Amino acid sequence: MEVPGPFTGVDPGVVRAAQLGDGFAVDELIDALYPLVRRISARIAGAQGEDAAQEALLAIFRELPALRSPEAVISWASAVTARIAVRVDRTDRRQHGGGEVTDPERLSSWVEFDSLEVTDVLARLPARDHAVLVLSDLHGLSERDIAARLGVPAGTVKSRLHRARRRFREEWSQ
Amino acid sequence: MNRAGDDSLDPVLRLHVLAAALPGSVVAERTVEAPFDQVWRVVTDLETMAPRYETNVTAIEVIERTPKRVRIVATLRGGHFEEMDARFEPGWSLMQSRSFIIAFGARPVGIHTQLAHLEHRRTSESAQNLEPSHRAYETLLRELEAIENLAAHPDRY
Repeated sequence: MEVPGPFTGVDPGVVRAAQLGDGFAVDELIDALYPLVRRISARIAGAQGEDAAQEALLAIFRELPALRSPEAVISWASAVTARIAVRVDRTDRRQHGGGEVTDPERLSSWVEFDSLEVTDVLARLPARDHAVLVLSDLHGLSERDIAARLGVPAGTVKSRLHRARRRFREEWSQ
Repeated sequence: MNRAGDDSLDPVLRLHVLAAALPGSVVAERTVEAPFDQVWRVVTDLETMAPRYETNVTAIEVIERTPKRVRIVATLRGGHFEEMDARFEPGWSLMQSRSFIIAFGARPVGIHTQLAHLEHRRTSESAQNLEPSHRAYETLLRELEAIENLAAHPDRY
């Protein structure tokens, strides 16, 4: 699945110049990345999206010199943003006495942008959890359809999906 | 006031992001007790006002001007000349030479203005003359105060 929106075509030369301290290049890169950062932050952190976007932007530009492949700036910035947005959202839920993430819409947004980070986190999940999460959130199958496909009761799919989402979230925050 | 569009970034935050990308840069920020339009008029009036608020600048000459970009020659204390490119948007000003980066970010706060100011030395040569960070910070604060005085009392100047 591709990253939605016009988030391609960042000139690697601009990224390199920004890494070397060219202020105009940094300014141009901020314009290129901010819409992406804002969109990912809003999807993951909901009402805390703006806070997450601000924090993510600061982290991206603080860590920019460490980026080895300027061509990969979009996926790298997406991963940094997602990690920070998850943390901001988690902190907000703790402060407000929230429990587990159970909102499928918001959880599915994590895997909506197909960054290497998401793939990596999915790969760290147990195979059963990986399967139900991908079938549900990437392929859009219902719990009943997943149950039929895997040959298990619908109740088992429901509990596995709940556990998979929790584990995905925990692995992402590592 | 943001730059145009929903996806525009608050200029004060933009300045802090710029600072994050420029290690060693110094940033000062304060709420200036003057309306945004007056403050921004002072900040961007390079030839008349900038030498009055920029501590190390004695004169600025604009040598080329396009709608969003200005090329200037600044005369620094000690007689050095510094050729700089400058870009302006409402609430955002970025000036850069081979040796320096100077930026301002501003947004209205009620009838007042939140104003942030950044200075960065780009080269090891210019960094050798760098003031200790606390002194550089105090210098920037004084420049913000000077802008406030110029913006709050335009009739005096």
